[in-house]
Amino acid sequence: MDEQLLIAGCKRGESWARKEIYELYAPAMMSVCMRYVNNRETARDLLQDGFIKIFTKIGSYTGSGAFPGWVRRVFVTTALEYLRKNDAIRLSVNFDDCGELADEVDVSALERLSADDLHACIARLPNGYRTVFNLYAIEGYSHSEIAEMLHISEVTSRTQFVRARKVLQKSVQSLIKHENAQ
Amino acid sequence: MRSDTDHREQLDDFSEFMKRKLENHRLPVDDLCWEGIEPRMRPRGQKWLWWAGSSVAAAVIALLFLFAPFRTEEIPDGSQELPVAVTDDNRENVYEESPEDVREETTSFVGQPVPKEKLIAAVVSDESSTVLIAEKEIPEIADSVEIQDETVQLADEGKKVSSPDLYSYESKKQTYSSAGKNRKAEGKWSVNAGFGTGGHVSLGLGYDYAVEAPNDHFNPSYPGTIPPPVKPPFFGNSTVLSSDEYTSVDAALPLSFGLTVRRDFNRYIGLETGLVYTYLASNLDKWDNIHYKSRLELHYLGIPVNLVVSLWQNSRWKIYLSGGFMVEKGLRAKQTETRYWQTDVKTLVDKGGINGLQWSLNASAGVSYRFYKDWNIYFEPRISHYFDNNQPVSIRTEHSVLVGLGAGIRFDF
Repeated sequence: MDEQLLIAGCKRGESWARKEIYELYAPAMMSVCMRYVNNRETARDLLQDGFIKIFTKIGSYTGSGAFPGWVRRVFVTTALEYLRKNDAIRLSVNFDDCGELADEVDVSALERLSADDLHACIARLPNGYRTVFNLYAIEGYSHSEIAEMLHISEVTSRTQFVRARKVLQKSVQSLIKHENAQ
Repeated sequence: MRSDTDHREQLDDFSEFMKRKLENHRLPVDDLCWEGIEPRMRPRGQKWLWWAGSSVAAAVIALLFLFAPFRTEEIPDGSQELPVAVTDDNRENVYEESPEDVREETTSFVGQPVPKEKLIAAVVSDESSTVLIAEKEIPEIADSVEIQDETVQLADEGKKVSSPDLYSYESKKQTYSSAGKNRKAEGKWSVNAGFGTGGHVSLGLGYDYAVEAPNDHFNPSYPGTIPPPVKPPFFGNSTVLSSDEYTSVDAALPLSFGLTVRRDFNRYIGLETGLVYTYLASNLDKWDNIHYKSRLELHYLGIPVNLVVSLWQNSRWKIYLSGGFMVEKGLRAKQTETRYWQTDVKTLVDKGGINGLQWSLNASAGVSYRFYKDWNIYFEPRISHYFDNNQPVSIRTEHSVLVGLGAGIRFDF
């Protein structure tokens, strides 16, 4: 189905168009939500809230940017609103918490891991690390933008990202070792 | 979405790899999710109408209870005497009244002195100064053969007796009309079509959405290493969990629709029965190695039997109490269970009948308003007690006492 047709249908409030949009984007957006809240129940609520926003605010989508990008931004914003509202973004983990610095991960070894495995590793990060890592590494926001979105300083954003990456590397290395042992 | 060029600094290999792997990652979504979105996208009018209707009902009831006792347009003494049976004991006193007295006190409608027995069944019906002789009245009157027979005959033939004296008390005409309407209510039938809902203690109309605090169910013993999870073997079971095995129940308010018939034996007492359909839904939850979620939907058909006692009424308003029992038979149960383990999702649907009967006691205070001819609208705040009859999980099993609000249309005939 042509994307423009679906968007036009949604703007008219057509139920079939909403359902099509939902089916098209729900799995990917569920993954986005799960990356931010690490709780299927909450992610499901965010998914619902996000689609409600999509359908009610689709009139503001002018078509100047890619529709998938607009959809994703709505879901990321929804997730951040939830985290802010519930005071879930805590950025006070000490550097010591990261333990030993992880060795550089062999990217070729990483290829053997599935996306589900990597997703699970990100899900295990503390909220603050996870949020900054997602925003910077996956969504592509700059540190200054992240600082603005999370009401933190740019330096804090950088620090959180570096710490998150190190913890994540440790988790991934552990997973690779386990895979190799099997 | 932003491109990589938006980064002020180049992503390291590891982050780049994570981005490439996860940017387009997808997770399965259960069908129930859409069912949660669709109702919220419906026009707000329905919800608004629901709330507005309930609010108006509550306001009307409150106003009636506040002001009804102070209303002064009650039937005057003369008319109040109308339904009173005349016995041999008081007949003498009645005859002591002069024709003029009778005319003044009761807006007499005959040109000559009339024995009180005739007044019993006579009311002014409209502005055309006619007198309608009602057919049924106090049974004891049947003994006064001659007079009563005359009255009955007139009524059977639908005759109206004109009287030039009727307008001697203009201000009382409306009151007498009301009396006539009230008289008509005796021995009549009513058909009610209504709906209702109810909740535990409060009248909140909607689901209770529990906001779960942010937590990391799978979060760990960070920052240590993470052992790979092992899928529990019972994830693949093809039988849904019994509703009793769930640890969390979020029961929605019941929705009832019914068609009932009421027989008013006299002005004060009536009996009501009919058929009532009730829909019950609950969201069940259980966290274990596997996260179980279920939606349980129950359909019941019940027969209520209620005694209705009228407390106060005039030509348009009626306040009454109602009490009785209802027996319901479960028609169908549908349980949709979804299991989550890591990124795996499995959905099962179980349909079947419901054994046993659900008994309940009900009491309500109602108010009805006649808005057009014999059509009335009514509101009934009610309280119900549901007995433990080993029925599937619902708001009735979670709370044995429910407070609710019913409303509907009533037609008198």
